[in-house]
Amino acid sequence: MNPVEARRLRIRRIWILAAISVAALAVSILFGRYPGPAVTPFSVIENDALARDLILHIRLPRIAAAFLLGAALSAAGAVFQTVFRNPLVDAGFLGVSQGAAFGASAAIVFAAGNAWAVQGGAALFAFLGLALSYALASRIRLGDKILHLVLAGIVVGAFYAAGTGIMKYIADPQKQLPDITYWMLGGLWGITGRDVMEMMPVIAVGLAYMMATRWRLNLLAMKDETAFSLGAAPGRERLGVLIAAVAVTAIGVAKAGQIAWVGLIVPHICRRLVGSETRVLLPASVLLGGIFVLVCDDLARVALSGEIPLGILTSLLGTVLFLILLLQRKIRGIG
Amino acid sequence: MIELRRVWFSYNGRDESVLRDVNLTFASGTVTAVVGPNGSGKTTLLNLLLGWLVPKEGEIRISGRLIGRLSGRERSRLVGHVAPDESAVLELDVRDYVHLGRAPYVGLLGRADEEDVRAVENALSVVDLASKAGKPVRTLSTGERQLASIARALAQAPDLLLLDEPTSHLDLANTRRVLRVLRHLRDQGKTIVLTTHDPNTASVLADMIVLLYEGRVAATGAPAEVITGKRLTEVYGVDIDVRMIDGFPHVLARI
Repeated sequence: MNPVEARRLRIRRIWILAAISVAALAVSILFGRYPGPAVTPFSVIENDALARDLILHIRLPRIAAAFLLGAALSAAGAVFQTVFRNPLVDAGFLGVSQGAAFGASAAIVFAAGNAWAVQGGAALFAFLGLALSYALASRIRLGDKILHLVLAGIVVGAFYAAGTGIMKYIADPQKQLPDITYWMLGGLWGITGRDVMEMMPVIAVGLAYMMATRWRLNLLAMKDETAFSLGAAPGRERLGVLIAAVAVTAIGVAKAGQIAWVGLIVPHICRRLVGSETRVLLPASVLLGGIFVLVCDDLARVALSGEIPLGILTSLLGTVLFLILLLQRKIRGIG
Repeated sequence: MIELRRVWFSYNGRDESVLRDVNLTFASGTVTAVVGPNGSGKTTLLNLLLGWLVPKEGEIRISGRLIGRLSGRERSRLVGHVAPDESAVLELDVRDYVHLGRAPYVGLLGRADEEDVRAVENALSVVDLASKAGKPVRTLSTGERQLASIARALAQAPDLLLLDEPTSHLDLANTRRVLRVLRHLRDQGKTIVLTTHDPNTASVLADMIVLLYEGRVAATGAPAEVITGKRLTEVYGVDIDVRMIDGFPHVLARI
């Protein structure tokens, strides 16, 4: 295949993902437990004011939140995997997820689970995870700068995990401990239009930054000296794109709790679809991530009589898909 | 022309100087090989020429301009750099990888115009990898990956090309391929500075050899002047024989 044809094929696949995204968003409106167990027919939407109200105020915000969350986590995952030259990392790196979990559980214990405190605590400590990892990395001398960050991230993550353990230990077992557990399972059941409006600007700006700099991610995947020789400022540019990735992850985790595996598995599937060049990998990850979480959330809402926590479903589907890729030897490197 | 004047360098937090009072001039259109024992400062010297490291004292000028005063884009149009096995982890296709060399010329999204496409295709043909341009870098042999890295640096169209250990880990055939490409580039007018552990590679390829020892320039000049048994025995601390073969000094270490 000549290079022009190869590029056209990649771009066609992105357009197909875009079309599937639109279709998934549209079809998801019909999924829900009113009036029947799984689907709301068109006739009911036409004639039933309550159905229209439900769609407008409950389902639409939730569908938008699911798509935004998936897009954000997957784009951040693609960025993390590229910048850390490691196909097995996601937002759990640099203590971001663990920071969010600690912040949320501390707010549940000390601020009586106030929604603002939980979301603010999760976002604050997710960012603190990045800051602590960077501060610690600057003190490590073993290996190159990427290894410094990887090691620092492991230490900060473990430190936060210990903190979360303490919060669980001192939590009131009747009320606070179940709240912490539910938050960690992750889900979009309480999402409102206001939540979506709060997520939107952070995710829009973060995604716009990652999309605008997506070709230069290829440079940041290379050794510092090589990236520098190509005119990049590897330290500054990596920090910029990591702040964007952490910001979208932090707001997503703050609103939805721990949604695991999305940031890990979706970029891998996208590498199979469009290759590893980040100019095409990132838009593909945004779209497929949105579709993946949206479909998982649709299943979470209607698959069983009670709602399944979204984090459980993404983990379940994510691990199955990862295993399939692993057995087919389709897990690829980065860059 | 590249000039180093009274260059001293030590890494942050360490008192010991890695390079001491280095004065060198690299003429345009020549190949210079920097040789010396492990830890003698070869890679540090290369990273100073790249501008990645900044001298503690002294100055480095490329075509009369101080390297530290150049913007990233200006510098990357003048100086290319190939690190040892830099592309080993990359999953990119060879053409996309070589296109990264156009970073100093393209916009934020890396869109290629006709000149960029021409530069990439030309670099691929110089290293004879045009037929593998659509394959992932990871699937190339070690020798081909090294050639792909050289093509990536060539696409940059730099005046000065720095190569850190370009032939380490390569078998004889691949070493020959790389050396022939470098000689061709020299003939095209590129200035090349490379480091190597192999004095024989340096001898057959280089116009000038810089022998570093404990951070100082122990000797500099044409291969036959620098690569002598007495001098190498002193620097490496082992008995070394040097024989002239086809006009080039050839090194044999006694066991």
